[in-house]
Amino acid sequence: MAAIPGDIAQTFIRREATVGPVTSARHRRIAMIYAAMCILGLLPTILGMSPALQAAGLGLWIPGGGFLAVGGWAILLFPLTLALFALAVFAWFGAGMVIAPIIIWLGAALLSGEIAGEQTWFLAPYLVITTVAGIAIYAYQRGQARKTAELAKLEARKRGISAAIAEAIEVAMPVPTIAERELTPDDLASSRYALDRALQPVGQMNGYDKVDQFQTSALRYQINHLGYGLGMLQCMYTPSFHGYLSQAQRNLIELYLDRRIWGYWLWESAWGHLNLTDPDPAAKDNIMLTGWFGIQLCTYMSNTGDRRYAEPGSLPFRRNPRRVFHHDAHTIAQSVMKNFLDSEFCLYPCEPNWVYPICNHYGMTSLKIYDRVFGTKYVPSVLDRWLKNLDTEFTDYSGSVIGLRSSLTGIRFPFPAGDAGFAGFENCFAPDRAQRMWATARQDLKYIMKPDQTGAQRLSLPGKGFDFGNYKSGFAGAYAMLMDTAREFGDYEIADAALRALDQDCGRADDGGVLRYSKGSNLSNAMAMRARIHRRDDFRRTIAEGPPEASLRGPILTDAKYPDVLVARAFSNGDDLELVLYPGANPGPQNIRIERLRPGSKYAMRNGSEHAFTADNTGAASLSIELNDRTPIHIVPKN
Amino acid sequence: MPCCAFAAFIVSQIVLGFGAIRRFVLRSDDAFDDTPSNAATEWRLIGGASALAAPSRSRSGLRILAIAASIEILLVIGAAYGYHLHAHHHHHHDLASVASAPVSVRIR
Repeated sequence: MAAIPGDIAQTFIRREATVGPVTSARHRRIAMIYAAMCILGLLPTILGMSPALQAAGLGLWIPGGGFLAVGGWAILLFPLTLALFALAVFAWFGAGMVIAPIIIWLGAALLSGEIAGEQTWFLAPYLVITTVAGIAIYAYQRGQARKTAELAKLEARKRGISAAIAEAIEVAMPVPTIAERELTPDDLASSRYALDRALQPVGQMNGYDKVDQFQTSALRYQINHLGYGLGMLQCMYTPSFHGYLSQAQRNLIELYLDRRIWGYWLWESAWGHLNLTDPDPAAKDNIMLTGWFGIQLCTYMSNTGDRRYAEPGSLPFRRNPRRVFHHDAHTIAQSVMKNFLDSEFCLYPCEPNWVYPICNHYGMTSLKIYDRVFGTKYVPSVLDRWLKNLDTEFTDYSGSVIGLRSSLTGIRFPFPAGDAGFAGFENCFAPDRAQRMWATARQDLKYIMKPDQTGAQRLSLPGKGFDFGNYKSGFAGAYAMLMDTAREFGDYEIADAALRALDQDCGRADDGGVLRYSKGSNLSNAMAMRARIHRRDDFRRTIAEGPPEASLRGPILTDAKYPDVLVARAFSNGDDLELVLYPGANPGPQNIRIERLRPGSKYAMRNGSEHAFTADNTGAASLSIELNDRTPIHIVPKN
Repeated sequence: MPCCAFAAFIVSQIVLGFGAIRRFVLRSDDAFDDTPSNAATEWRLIGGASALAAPSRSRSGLRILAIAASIEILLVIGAAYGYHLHAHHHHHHDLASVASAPVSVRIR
């Protein structure tokens, strides 16, 4: 049913506050704890207790504040402690190290008490209180300024949202039919980027960025995005081709089980959950693993009908020879669901304590595809509460979803997030809301549309950019993400503008039949590959609908040599098999194998001329074909 | 458990420290910079790819050795100094105990 702009606009944020009840409770709790620390910290000074207690007390007001009371050279430790505290907060944010800021703060207070002399510096209490008050005033003013700006943005959005949604729907191209689905030579060259990486022996990671395993450059995200691209390609273009395309997806799934990929959780579980004995990666929190991996697993199983990862213990996360965390597609999905149900926010953390709404979108998407593949009702049972909490706890005054929030303190942490990034996921489980998100994002994107030297429109982001896949400058990831989302909503004008920006700014290189962006990270290249093959609703259909039913029972291409045989199209109506192949290396004869034919039946292979063959008693046949440029082949039963 | 947590924190600092050394001292290619091309993405499964220049193992090895040696020397000096202080502290502590004086034994 077509969405009506007015209906979608009515769901736009109307509330006046951005802090929901759970966040408010967290804020109150942290305020009470801090107030108690301040009172406790000031008592030794008021009561004239020992210099050690006075110094330690002032250290409770602000990290390193006690060193001011010690006086002399120790005053220098105050800014040093503040710098260390900032580093500890970064470790808390970056790797879930909850204990780091606590240790620095309380440790500094204890140390100042330990080194205090016979008397304290008389100015210390005033300086500490003034510093704290200054920080509080600065934070309040900054918060108010941000609130004012966001409310102004909300008003502007309210005025234009209906027209924006109508326009987004108006410009959207229709969903392509099966007859239109065929990868272009550029699409094939781009897909080879992902296939090259995925078809390495499991355990090898050539062509990956190896930076850190905690944040956005982590190998797990690179593996996930390569898997998403290949999975969507199979679902939308070649559902009747298994062969090396399925092998590539299985390789990625099995690589994910390598301890180098998920071992970060052993650390985060220790310093975030204080759990040294049972750091199961798919138990508490860690939606950045379960949610992301769940999509990849279920996409493979949905495309192929292969249920190997649904077998109990089929996904062993091996910590060492003695300790293995046995999981499968069910336990991964159940982990996501249980955490949703257990969390007061409904949304739950990636790193211990940090809730990223974007990873929770991955989580909900993983449940959506799991429900379809296994017939469960997880999404309907939790989605209303999830969306309500997203609106009330994780949305700013302008109506945009925030980057992340601390579940312990309720603090909102500055982290880049954009409506476009969320819209693609919501299209899988809340399409009306997704349409509104995209319409909002699309209005913002208009400001960065500029003509290039030929007069064609392209996106043009300011500054040097930032590539989350390797922490270097560059726009490859941003343009790829925008292109991907625009394609999902059928907005090919913006998608084409993003593609021009990618090609012009990000070091497009075509060599050896592989298309890549040399100025982008592996993560950005994986996203660009998926964006390139993306057409309207492809992601939603991959998740919510899956491949055509006939392709799951009809003949399939199961063997073709990579990269000698490239598959641009593979569909079946249940009886036939329609292929479009390209030579990946040199033109000439190639062997392919077809399975799921009717055993012992006669077939015709039509490729300009017609060749008859008979399937063996297992329903398989090996064929030799001549590949010269684009080669369409149609295999049909012969009566 | 707090002790374990503290140990985990210390270890993590070491891990992060090594990461920082790798990035900023050894000039590992994952440092923030404006390098236009990403070497990782040049890799291809099937030949024809431009060969990636392998980092000079001998030079980086020497650098690692030099830094490791410096750290070891610092650790040895630190340990020796710590032992010296410890022994000195115990000497005073013993004196204080003998005197049974209800005063702070903190010596500065």
